[in-house]
Amino acid sequence: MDNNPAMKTLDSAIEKYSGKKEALLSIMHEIQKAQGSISEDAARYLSGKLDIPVSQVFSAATFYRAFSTEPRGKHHIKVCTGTSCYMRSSEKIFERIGRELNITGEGASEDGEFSVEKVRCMGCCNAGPVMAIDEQICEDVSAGKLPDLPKQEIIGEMTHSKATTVIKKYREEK
Amino acid sequence: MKISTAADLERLKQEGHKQLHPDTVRIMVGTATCCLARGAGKVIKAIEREAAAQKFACTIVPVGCIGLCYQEPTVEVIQPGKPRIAYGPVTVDDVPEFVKALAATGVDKKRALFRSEQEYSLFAAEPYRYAKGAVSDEFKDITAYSDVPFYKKQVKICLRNAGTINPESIEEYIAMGGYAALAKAVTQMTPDQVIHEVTKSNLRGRGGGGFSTGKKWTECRKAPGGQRYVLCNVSEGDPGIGMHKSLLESDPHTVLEGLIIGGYAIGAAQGYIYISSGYPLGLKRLQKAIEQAEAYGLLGTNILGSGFNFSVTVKEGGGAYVCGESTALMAGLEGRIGEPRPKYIHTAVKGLWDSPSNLNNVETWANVPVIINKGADWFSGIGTGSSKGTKVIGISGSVNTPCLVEVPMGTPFKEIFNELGGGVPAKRKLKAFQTGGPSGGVLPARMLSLNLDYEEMGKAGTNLGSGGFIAIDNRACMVDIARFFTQFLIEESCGKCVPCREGVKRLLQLINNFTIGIGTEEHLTLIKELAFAMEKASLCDLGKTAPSVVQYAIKYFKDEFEAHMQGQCPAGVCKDLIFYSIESKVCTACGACIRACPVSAISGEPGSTPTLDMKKCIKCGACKEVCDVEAITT
Repeated sequence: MDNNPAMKTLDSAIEKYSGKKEALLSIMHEIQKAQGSISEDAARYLSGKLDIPVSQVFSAATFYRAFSTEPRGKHHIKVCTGTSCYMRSSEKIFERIGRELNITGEGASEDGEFSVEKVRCMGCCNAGPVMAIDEQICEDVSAGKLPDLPKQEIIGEMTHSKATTVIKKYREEK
Repeated sequence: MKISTAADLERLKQEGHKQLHPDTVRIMVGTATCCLARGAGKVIKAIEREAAAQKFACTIVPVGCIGLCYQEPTVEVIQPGKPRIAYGPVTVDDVPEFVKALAATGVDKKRALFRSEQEYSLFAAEPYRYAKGAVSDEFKDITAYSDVPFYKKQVKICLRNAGTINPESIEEYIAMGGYAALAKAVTQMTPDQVIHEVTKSNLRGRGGGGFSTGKKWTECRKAPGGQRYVLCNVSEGDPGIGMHKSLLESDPHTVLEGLIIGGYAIGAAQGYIYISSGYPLGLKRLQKAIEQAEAYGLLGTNILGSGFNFSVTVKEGGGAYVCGESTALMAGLEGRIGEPRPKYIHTAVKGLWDSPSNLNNVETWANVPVIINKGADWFSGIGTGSSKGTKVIGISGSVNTPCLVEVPMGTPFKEIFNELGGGVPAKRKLKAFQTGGPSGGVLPARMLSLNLDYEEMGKAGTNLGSGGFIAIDNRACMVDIARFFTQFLIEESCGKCVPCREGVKRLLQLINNFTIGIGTEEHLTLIKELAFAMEKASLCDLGKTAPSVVQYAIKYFKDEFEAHMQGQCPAGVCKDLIFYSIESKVCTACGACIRACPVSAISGEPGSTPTLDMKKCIKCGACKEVCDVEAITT
């Protein structure tokens, strides 16, 4: 089992925090980042290595929003549903994305390309409604504008239009 | 180099001054998360490129947020011997023209917002003057900082350095008078004197509870036991708020300095900062600040030769609203799930790992260095009778100029909303405002006459919370707002105690009766009874305050609940009660709604009013949103 590359990431995460029990959340953050989810195997492995019940790992994985037990898609979309964005119809954006990508509620699309999640406040209340595609924040989105390739630029190299192009292309290929 | 004496600190101050006021042009770009979302990262790259191309010598420095969110990306420029000028918005497309103007005349009048003659400083006996002598004529037509209405109302204590210093430079923080308070505390004051000063200042917890910070510290210091901890909470889970994140991203050292002083006063050798997940930039800047402080010996053993040892660890939380509660946060720090416990024994006596622990939030800690440096009397000179100092407020929602401000306690909400938030956008009307997040309340627009004050707000039925102000206009449905917050609490209730876990679910069920038009007076009575039980019997404040938004919505907006009983949603939000129709008299037949409809429920020929097929309609509202003439009604 130790030769498995997935388990190697676990080992390095555990080692980074010297295998301390109280560092459980920090270790889980590392694993979530590297593997996109806390799988059952990972939870069992952690429980053995840190000498804590597997139920404790599993409870943390399901309690905190930052972790998911289900694998996320290649592109992870976060839609802010904080008060300020909600007031600007972010719920509709969430529904619209779900419809475009054929995802019901939160979760991943069947082919594992996309997953969508509602989050609480990304701290850009002044630019709402906001969503993030692979950590790139798109500001001032709206459900009506979404399929129309809006022009706004977003952080880094990815543009809003690129984000929607990704979605469009995906639909065409389907 | 280690700082071990006050003279060392002074030397470093000089170094920081050189960075802050270099011989070349210093271009400062706001880079808090909100600024980055508006493209500040690209603007920096564009300025670098353009300056190189035009051979314009300058240093580009990322700074924190100056609060003018609606003018982002904002850029400030200091030219040696000239006033500091703020510009905004400066987008990537503006950069070539902007740099050209700077290189040619030293000022870009088209984008200039205001000029500052001197540095904003709380500590310097004589604030640094950017321009020597009188204001030269070429800058006279740019508004002076002291005349900008936006800043006139503000007093910056926590945000004193935001936008001026590079958050990743400890030297610049020291140049602005940073760590002088720590030096004063550990070399000239006893821990009791520090606590006395904080108590005298009347500083109250900025996280929402408003408990006296000095009293809390005293209890923790006096608690029996050896090891004790000081903790900092950066876990504002309230939706609609970004102030603490912005504070941390703009000036992490002020939080750190406050925490070290607190550790000295309480007798703790270890501090923890619990930062909610989803703040990658704040986390990064904080970790950097800690590394720098360690390198200079401001953290570690024998700090400033006083014999006081202190270290700080940052822990990233998992993103749970309940972790704002002290016992839940401590459980999170210990690596468990964030479930609160009963607090018959205060955490000041038995907290983290059963040791005495003192928890304060980011903003509270950020106030501490100023209180020690300027004295309790100076601090308590700001504010009202029982609420002293200032409060950082994030203004968002339906306002013209969303922004981040720091105002003295006692400022009327009317001023905050109208003069800082710029009032409600055209064609809309302010209906209500929300403060304190899901555990606060919604108040009707007429109550804007309230002042920002712990007692006054408590009486009106809301609380300050961590300081978010969200304006709600006439397009919002208050029943839906009540439903929204209750849904939030269902997701965030930790599930440990029955009154909260089951209560919020039943509460939502009752509210949903109204959103589908079958609510009755009896349901309102049931909500009241349920709320009473939850307030009395829940374990922690999340459950105790869970029904508050609903209750205040019913209290102040009963007419809307009554309309829903009649099967109508006046704002046109509750899906089950609305039917879209297209007003042919208003419609300009532009066809935007046809393109926007995701299910092709709208059809029509060019030049005539489209028709809507209600059988296909999924009530997503996309058509209403794109209609410029508001021809789509509910």
